[in-house]
Amino acid sequence: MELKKIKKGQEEMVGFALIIVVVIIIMVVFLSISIRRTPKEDVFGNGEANSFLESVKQYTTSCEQGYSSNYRVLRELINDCDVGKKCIDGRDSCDILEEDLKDIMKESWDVREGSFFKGYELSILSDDVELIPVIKEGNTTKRYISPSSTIKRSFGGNLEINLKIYK
Amino acid sequence: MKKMETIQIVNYGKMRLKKGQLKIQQMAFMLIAVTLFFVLIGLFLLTLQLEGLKNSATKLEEKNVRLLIDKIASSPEFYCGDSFEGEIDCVDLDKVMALYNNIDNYRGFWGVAKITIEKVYPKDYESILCTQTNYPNCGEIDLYSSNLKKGAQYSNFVALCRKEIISEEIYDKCELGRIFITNEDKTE
Repeated sequence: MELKKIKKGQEEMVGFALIIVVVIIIMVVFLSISIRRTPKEDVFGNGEANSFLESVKQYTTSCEQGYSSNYRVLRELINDCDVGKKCIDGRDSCDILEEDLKDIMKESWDVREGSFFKGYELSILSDDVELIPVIKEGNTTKRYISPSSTIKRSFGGNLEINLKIYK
Repeated sequence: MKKMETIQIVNYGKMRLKKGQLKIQQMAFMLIAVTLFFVLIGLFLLTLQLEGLKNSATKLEEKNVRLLIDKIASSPEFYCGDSFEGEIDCVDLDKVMALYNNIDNYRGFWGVAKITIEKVYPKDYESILCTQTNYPNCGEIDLYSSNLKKGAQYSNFVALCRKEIISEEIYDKCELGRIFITNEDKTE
């Protein structure tokens, strides 16, 4: 009689454990599906930052090259900086590039406290060497978007613009 | 003696009945508990799913508006084309000003509630609205506004290019700007 009772109790425990295992498996499957969805959401945020880089490359700077009114666009100025060219008025192209990019970043991305974006980092690389010091502001976080763009070098190869916007 | 025996038999029967009832009750409670447990899990999963659905709906709307912004920026009325060296995300401001003067012909054409273009850098003429008389010394073009109920606003960066004249010489000048699109509010 007692053995029967023990067996019945064991059966019930096994049943309960089975239910728990099934529920845990279902929860794990659903959680993994919802976790896998999350990174996709950040991809859309890249659109705005990509457009930013493409638009910035077309910005007309105050640096004239060769003759009067031949104002260099930022894409060309990066190339000028890479080869160490100076503007007509004697200013260094890298100085103007750095100054313009600093101002552009400041006006474009609000990273003050309480803002949606927490910080940014912009670097221009020529053969993995920084052309100008990294332009950064605000704080770094784990959530960020990082678009990049390339510019054709006048003597072959590519120059790389890397942007990181922290959310 | 016979009376006593009968009473005992009846008591055994009652005890068995009570035990059976208890078992049924136990079973019923267990079933209720298991059902409640599954209902709670179902509710939890349902809220997760609904939240995901809401998020993806918002993301989809945002994606659509971004596509619409790209579409507007690359439409012939806005796009730089061969006039400037810009490849993508380039808006011809001179064209936009011409459009601004004939905007009544474009009512309902884009299916949005509002289109605004703002100069981001340089900020020389911040919040000065562009008109035919002060252009290009201005910072914002209120291009189009309909009577539709205004919903969410989305924006994208563009290069704002125009022809500039300095000492009788014409050159291309591109500045950094933002195009803002306000959707129609369809919540009601």
